Amino acid sequence: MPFLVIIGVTAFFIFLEFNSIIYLRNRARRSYSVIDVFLKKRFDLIPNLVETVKGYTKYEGETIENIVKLRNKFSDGDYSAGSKLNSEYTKLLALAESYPELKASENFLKLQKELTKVENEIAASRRLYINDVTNYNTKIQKFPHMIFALFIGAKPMELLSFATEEVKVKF
Amino acid sequence: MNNFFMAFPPLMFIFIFIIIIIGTVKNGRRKKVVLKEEIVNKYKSIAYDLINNNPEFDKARSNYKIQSLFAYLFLGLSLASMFVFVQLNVLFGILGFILCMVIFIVIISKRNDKAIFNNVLPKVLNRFNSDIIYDHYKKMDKSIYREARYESFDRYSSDDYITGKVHNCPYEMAEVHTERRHTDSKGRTHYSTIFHGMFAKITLSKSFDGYLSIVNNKIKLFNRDQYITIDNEAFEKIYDVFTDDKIKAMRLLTPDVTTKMIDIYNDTGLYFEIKIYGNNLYLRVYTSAMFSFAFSNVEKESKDIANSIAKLDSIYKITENIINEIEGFDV
Repeated sequence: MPFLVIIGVTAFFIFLEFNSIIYLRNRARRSYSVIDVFLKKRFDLIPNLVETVKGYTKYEGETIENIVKLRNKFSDGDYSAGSKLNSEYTKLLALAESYPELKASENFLKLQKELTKVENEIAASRRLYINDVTNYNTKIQKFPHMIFALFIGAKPMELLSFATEEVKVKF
Repeated sequence: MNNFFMAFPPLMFIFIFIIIIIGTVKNGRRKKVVLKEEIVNKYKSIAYDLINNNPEFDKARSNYKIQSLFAYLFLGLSLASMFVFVQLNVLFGILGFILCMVIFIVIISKRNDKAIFNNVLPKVLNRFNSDIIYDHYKKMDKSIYREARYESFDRYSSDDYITGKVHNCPYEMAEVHTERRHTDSKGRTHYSTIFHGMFAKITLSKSFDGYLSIVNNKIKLFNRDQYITIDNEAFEKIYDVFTDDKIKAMRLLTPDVTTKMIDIYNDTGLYFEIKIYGNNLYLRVYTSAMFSFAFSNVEKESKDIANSIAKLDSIYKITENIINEIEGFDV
């Protein structure tokens, strides 16, 4: 009888540990996909931004063309275009500095507001992801959780490596 | 019979002693939360200026002194009646003792702080903030407290009702005491405090469009899907955040905001909990009795009042901080 009790308690403990690790891992993965959603939301604003910029600028055809191409690539699922798109996107926003009329236009101001909101959402989702990954990594690296993590093959997740390429919108 | 007569005076002494003890306990039932000395000292000079040479305050203090004088006079007379009982006349002695004790109890149980709560404190608070309307005897409605969906309770009491505006947002606030009933193995009923402090409802001009709850650390067993980790270690040690919109909550609770919250907590030592449902903000601050006061001398009295003003100012700071963030929030 005591033997059965020990087995029962151990099995229950393993069950809890397993569920907890899986829960934290899925939570971190979900947070990552949330960043993706907001990045897409940001790039979805690009056609509007391009249209607005086009009306006020005459000599920036190359930048606009580039950004349209990259955005289409990204929409087609080529996520490698993301980092280049980020830098072109920053250039596009910086154009406003050289065109005072563009900077003052109602459409551009409206876009600015929307972009600021999306940028805040991206920053929030990144913080959320970092917190969730930190929780998960800490859990699987601590004793005795690391034994179960090893047993189920749970590996530490990477914190955001693209943080350095983060687009900072300054108006 | 003779033994009874011999035992009567000591028994009466014990009786009087018990009465004094009960009186002391009753006066001290408004337990104080004492803030950090340096915080209270900030407000002490303001409180001192407000009560020193204040005619209404002086009148209340002199009334209290007269009341105390009469109370002790009748206490002395009740002791003297015991001498009458032993030495002169048994009947007069007993009647005299009972009469003096009744008068003593009537005088001592009369609330001497009435003038303070009715006349002085509202004016003191008004000078601190002109928007404040204070009513010591008014309660916060139980249904408003329930709107914030805190833990269930069996007994509810409230007083010290305050209304006003903070950053143009109307608020109502009151001292609230909630308790839970327990029955022990012998069938006796006990009550234990769940919350005792200030509770406020603030109507925001902007809606959060969701639910956000910042509460003291709790067991996250059933609602861990709504739980979010905040990137501020000091904040995490004290608070848990639950929300139905994690991104919105993270946008609101920036490291800057959480640091400010911790700074206020460190400065005041007051625990507070925040709940937001749409455009209603509910705040619960663990102050215990908010306005506790005892007559003594201007120095000690101003410290009591400074303590209350300091608590109120802390509540304002917390509220202003949150309102600022919500107002600047693009939903």
